[in-house]
Amino acid sequence: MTNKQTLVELNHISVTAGSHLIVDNVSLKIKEKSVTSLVGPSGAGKSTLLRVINRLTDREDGLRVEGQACYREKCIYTCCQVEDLRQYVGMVFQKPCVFPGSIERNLLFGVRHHKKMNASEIPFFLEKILKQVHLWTEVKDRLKKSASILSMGQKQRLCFARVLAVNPEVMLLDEPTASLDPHSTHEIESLIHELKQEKAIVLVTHDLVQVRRVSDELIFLSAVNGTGRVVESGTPERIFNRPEQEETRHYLSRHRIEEVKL
Amino acid sequence: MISRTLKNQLFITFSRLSGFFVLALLAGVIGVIAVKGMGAISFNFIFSPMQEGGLSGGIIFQIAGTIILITTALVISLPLATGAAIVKSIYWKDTRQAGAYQFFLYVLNGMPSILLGVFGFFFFVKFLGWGKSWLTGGILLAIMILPVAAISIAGGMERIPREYIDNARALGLSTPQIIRSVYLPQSFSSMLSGLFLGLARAVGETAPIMFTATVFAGAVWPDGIIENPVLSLPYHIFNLVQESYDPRAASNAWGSALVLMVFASVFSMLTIIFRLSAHEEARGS
Repeated sequence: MTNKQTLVELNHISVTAGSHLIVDNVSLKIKEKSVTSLVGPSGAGKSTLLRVINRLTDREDGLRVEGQACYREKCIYTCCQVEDLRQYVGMVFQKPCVFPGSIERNLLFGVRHHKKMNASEIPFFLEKILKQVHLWTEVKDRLKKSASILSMGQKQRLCFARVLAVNPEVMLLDEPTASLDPHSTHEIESLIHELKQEKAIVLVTHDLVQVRRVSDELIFLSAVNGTGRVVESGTPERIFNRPEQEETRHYLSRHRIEEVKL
Repeated sequence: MISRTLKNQLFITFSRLSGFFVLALLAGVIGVIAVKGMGAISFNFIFSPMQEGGLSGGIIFQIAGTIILITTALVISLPLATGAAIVKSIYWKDTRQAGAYQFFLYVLNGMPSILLGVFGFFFFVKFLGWGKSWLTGGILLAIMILPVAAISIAGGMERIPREYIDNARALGLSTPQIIRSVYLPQSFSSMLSGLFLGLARAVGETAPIMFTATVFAGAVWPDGIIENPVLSLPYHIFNLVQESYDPRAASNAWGSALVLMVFASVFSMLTIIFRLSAHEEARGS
């Protein structure tokens, strides 16, 4: 883990909405080929931090981000155009969102704006991406059909595929299994395991069992008066078994940590 | 003291009577025009030109002129209304400018159509020297349609679920790309419903075109822009009604009114179809 390159680094990031401090002085590092989980109670600013990393906070009125956020050691606000940054840092949201239209249109939705593809390339590209998310055998005969007929789990894998089609180095996952059944959750977790062989993944989740199953690094955030702060970070094994901070211990005990102890 | 039950009954009865009155009024107007107009309608009436100053013959060039005017208005107002909606709903979203812009659109919508006619006469006919021209009529009708269409398109854009925009943005699409890939396709039904609603109103307007674009007789197909007026149904009806002491003029006025009502009804029905479709899209997403 220590030899891995840092892809994203947040230094003393604070986010305010009007006069309310949402995130206070958060610093963290996201390393390549690993899964970093952000865990903590609602209101700890986990999703806000994800949105800071790919600058989705830019257009939110009244939201101010202070501190330094870097991608590959360069400030995310000056290194490149925001559209380019989002190519390198993709995001999957909690609720699977498919665009109206076919499965094929959904898959090509992002990538066709970034890269020119010959018509002859497209079938091979679709097959490669769909195989990557284990959706190929389920949809190969209905690529031209509406994506809205897919199950929730399939829709979420399609959302993963749509992001993977753009080929980001970092994937931000905002509670990607929160609205899925256990079987679909298992499929997404398997996918996360495979993706971390080549990408950095930041996972926001409330599912501590999932954190134990997929994470290499855990960052625990607290929410005091609606303000999120990093309490401690480390490997999931260490934090689940030997939390150093009382807040972490209290949160884990409330969430029946005895069930997930390693 | 009147009991609550009686008050409720009175309120319900008043509401029902009001609803029935409005429906009866509408049915009465449509019914009278349909019954009186049917007598004049024939193949010859629809497809032949006017003769004897409208006392005989048909209304083919009035229909053609009306179609030219509303098609021109549609072509001009579509991009303008879409642009106005994009500015209001996307670039100025949740800002004071958006509120002011909406107010301006409402003011424009409430402007009496005769004022547009006066403006068109002094600007296009006299200042630019176009004389009476179908293009002036199209432009003035487009200005009439613009606020209704822009407000409808903006409403459609504002109903697009936030997730679509967030997902598109997170995939690295720029705002113009999101407009092309998400906003425009998703607000297509609202776009059409707004335009047809505007057209349903504009198709029957006489005031903006009577000084600027249309004549009672002597025009056929336009072959240029300057000094190229067209015939039109509203102006034709306006003139025939003035001559309606002659039963032949009255009959042709009713026939022309029925054709105009069909035009307006088709646009109104298209408005309803596309509005329902827009609501379905919003619900489905």
